[in-house]
Amino acid sequence: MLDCVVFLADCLVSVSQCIEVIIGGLDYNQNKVNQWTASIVEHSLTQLVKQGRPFKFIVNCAIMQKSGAGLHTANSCYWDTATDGSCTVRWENRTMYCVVSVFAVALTC
Amino acid sequence: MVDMFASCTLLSVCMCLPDYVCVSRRGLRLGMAKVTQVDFPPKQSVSYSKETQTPTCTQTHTQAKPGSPSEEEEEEEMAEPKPAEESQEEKADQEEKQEEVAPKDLTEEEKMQLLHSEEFMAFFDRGSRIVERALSERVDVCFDYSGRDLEDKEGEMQAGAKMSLNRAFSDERWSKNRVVTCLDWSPQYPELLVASYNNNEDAPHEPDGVALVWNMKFKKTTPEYTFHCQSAVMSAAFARFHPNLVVGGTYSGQIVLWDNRSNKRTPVQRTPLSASAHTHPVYCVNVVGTQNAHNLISISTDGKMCSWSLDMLSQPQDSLELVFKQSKAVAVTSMAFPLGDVNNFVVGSEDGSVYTACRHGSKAGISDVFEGHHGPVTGLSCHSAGGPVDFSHLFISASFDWTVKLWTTKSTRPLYSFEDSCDYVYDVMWSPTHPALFACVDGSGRLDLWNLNNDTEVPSASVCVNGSPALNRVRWAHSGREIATGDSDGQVLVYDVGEQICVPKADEWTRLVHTLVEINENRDEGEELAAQRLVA
Repeated sequence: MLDCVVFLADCLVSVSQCIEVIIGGLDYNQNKVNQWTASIVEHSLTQLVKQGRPFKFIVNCAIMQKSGAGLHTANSCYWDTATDGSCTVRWENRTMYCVVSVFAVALTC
Repeated sequence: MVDMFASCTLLSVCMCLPDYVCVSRRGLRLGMAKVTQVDFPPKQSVSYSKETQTPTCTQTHTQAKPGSPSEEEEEEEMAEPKPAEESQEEKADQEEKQEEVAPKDLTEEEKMQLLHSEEFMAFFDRGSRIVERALSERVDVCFDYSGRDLEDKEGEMQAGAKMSLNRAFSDERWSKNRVVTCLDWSPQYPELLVASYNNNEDAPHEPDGVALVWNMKFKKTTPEYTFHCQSAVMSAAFARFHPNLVVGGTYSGQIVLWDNRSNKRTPVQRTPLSASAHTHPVYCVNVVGTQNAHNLISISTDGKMCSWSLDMLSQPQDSLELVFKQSKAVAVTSMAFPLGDVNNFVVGSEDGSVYTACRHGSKAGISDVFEGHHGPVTGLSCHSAGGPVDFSHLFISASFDWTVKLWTTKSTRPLYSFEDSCDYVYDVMWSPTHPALFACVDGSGRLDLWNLNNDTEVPSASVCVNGSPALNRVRWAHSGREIATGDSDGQVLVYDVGEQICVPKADEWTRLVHTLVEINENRDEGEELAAQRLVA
């Protein structure tokens, strides 16, 4: 159980680094935003898989332009709370918000 | 880089205890995980509606297409008697064709509708103004610049004349039977002058308050712009940093704003009649400050001073009750700001005293009282001619007690009292260019110019208006070469002041310093004598 916690903490760090590398310092650009979401998800997933843990991963990325509108999301899971976990990373700059959710489901073996 | 990282918020890792635990056959415990929420609140945009905007009257604008070419034809007929069709051959052909197609029988009603439509009124207003100027121009093409013609005539008289009447402005419909309550020269266009008038008792159905903008440049005798409102206008001013706006303070306490870009004669905005604004007549309005930071200051006769932003007239930005010694409200009749100062100012009141006051700071409100007049103070003016020496501490006041007094903010006793008048003195103003010159007007129709450096006992120049109406206001033009005065018959008279009087020489400032020293000495001597007489 502790293992999972530590692992997810590492997840957080690597995912946020990923986001920073891909969209850090850039402004919202409608033409490129699809590329960005795809690459954030890919890179995060690759990083997570690289760690070689026995988990199934689900990575979700949402980028929203800052236009004064509000955004509200929520998620929940029904799993083995001892071995599975999720984490959400919120990131923003002057022109956009980025929310990445990672769900890690333990592989039974 | 560090900032970006810092903006990244990390939600806690989800590891809470489940609400509900299920033990499956294999021994796995499945439960509901805690709900993860992400919230980005919407941005609140602050907006206000201009509650002070007056509603535009809705005119049903029925202009059918066939009607428009015939309307243009009508306009052309009225504006130019000679059809300039040679230059507009094609256009005329088109119009004729369209006329042939369209029905030519416009009923009387339709004609009236077209004549009263907004577009036509706007065009007609503009066009008639231009044509009037052209028609009134009387230029003398035979003028000889060598002056041979004028030698025997008025050449010398004009050169030596101290003050000569240049223009007299009055309007049969709008200014007759009304009293001129205020005058102001435009800072942007030196030829424009606004005059405000109170109500016409003989014509109760006409609007009570009128403000007319007169133009000195052209010889036409009708006002450039006519504005009116429902309550008598007691004070008017051009908004200094808004060239198109004219501000008026009315008898009801409302501040009204006219815009010469709109085609309306009624105000485009007016302040609400509420306890937060004024409920007494507003005798003083002034725009003080700089281009980027300015306020409209207004004071009403119950001592309330409000400062407004010209963009938001629905409520004052700031208001101050002017009370003397915590209890006595000051009934303000006139106000003046010294040159360059936006915080300190002087006000004159109905009880005959002049007060200095501050707008901001710990001592906001009345500071000192200057007692000396025996009647209500009607006009105040702070020294405004900038030069090598700073005289901005000097100000003059006019009062019903037949005198004009010279004061300095450094002392609460008057420096000097000018007692040449035999009637109520209604207004006084320093020249904007000459440091020692000021003008005053009184109820017997006299306009006096005093030069402190020449003589303090008698005015240096004086003129009496035809018919001796009471002269209510006097205002120097910004150039310092012309004076406008308004009288009780609704006439605005503009006088040219002779060069030898109004143009200051280089040493005027230093001479004024000496004059002030003399005045001071005389005052002290006079007081000593008076004290001695009391003792004896």
